[in-house]
Amino acid sequence: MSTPLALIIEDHEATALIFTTALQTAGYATETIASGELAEQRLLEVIPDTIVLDMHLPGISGEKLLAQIRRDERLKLTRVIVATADGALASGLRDHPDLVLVKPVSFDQLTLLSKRLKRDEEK
Amino acid sequence: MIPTIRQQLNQILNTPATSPDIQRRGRILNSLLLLLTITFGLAFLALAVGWLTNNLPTVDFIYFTKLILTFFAGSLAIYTINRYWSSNVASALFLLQFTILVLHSDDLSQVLAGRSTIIFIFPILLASLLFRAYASFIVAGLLAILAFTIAQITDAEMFYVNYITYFLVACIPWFASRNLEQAIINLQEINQELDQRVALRTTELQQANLALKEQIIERQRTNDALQLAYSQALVANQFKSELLSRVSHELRTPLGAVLGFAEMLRAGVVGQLTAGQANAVAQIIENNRDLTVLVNDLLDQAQLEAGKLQLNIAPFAIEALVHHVYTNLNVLAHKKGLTLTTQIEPDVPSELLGDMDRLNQILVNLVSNSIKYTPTGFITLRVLRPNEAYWAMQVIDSGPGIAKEAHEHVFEAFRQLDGSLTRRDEGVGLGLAIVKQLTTLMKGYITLDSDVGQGSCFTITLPILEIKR
Repeated sequence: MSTPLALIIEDHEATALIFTTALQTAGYATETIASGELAEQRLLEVIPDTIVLDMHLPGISGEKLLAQIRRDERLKLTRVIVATADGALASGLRDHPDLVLVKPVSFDQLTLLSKRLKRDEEK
Repeated sequence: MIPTIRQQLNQILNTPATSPDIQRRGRILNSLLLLLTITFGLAFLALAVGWLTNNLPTVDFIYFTKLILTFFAGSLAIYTINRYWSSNVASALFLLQFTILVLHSDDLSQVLAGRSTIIFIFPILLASLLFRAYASFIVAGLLAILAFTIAQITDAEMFYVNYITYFLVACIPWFASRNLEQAIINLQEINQELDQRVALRTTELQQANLALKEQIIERQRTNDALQLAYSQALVANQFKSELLSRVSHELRTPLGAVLGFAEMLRAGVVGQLTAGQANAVAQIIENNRDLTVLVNDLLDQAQLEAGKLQLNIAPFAIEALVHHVYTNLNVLAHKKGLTLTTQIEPDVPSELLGDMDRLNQILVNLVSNSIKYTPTGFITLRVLRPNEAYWAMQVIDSGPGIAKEAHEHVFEAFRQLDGSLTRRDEGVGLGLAIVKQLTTLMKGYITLDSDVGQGSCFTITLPILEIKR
């Protein structure tokens, strides 16, 4: 069984590092992308198991990216964890993410949850 | 407009004078002149008829005609003087002319003997009308002297009783005129007083008017200043809310990063920690959490003040909410040696409509507040239904309680209660303010039942919203 891939889409460097470490700790192979455009391009090439998506991104917004992911047939098995500072905004999204984490996101929590997601996938 | 006869007559009779009293006398003189002119005119006609019918000798006719013409000329002169110069001079001349006239009415001896008593009565009576009241006595005196002088010159008999009679007669017009004079003087005084009063009142009114105008201008100025201050305050408040909101967002990102890295350290992902290092990391995490709560509170406060906070109403299970609060805070209560218990009354609907996140925030705020201020004992979270239309959440503690005087300030933003507890337990005091504002936003209300040494009970009462299926 290959190592599952996680895409961390987050422009804040330190936060991205925490997310990456958390998912690595949970047993994922990770790729970190700092903008919406780059993420859009990369998603044409790879099919990640899990995406951690920041809502406030430069370029293409997280909301738009989420809608694209949800419409993409290839990515229908991909889990999306949305990280946002605004809880009310996340609960109002038209396209539902698998998980919403309100910033500041706890390292422990993210590790725990991504481990759980991985286990679900393995079932 | 053609003037009526009466108007024309008035024009002839009136004299231009400043004082109404002088004008009145002038008018009387003119009336007398007119009356006598008419009388003598008629007399002349009678004489003419008598002469033409040979009943009157020519010598007599000429004598009387001369007399009447002299009278006419004199009257015209008096009228002119009265009208254009002086009423007093005209009146004196009139009385003189009248006296001369009556002296011609008979033989001098006859005049002095008895008739003078009657004849002289007229000038005496008229004097008071034409001059001041006492003029009758002066005329009576002058006539007495005249009669006496004539009697001396003509060597006639003197009638002393006549002289006394003049003065007695003079009393009658004196009384009448004096009363009239007094009445006029009174009237003038009253008039003057009235004028003064009117003038005074007018001045007062003008002053009051001026003061009122100044007040209006002042009001307008104050109003403008208030308007300006109000709009400035609005802008400032808006700016403050936006600034707070931005700063809070900007703060949360690095704050989250600090927490994340500290948790990474604690998890041993970047290497095992010594006991001392682990302790330091625990402190970082704990303080970071406090700071995060504070920043979140500031953000909420800013949004509440700006009216931008929106509720996310959805059905939720009350048990889930209570359980969530319990699991989140039981550890904290336990650490302090406090007992946290929960209780849901059976008549509370299991599913309610509301913003679960915000209700959770309210309860976390109230319960952690109670944990913070209660040194020993218990904290109870109770959900009940006070009546058909409402449900309520109660947080009861065995803490030191809050003095009644302080109740009204408890829910104010950025305020803490005075006392030793406050100084030990630092905080900005936003928690309860946010709780109250959220409760208000949910169309509910919060009450506090507490006193010093009696513990506290916060009750949030909320309307039961209909769940549409």
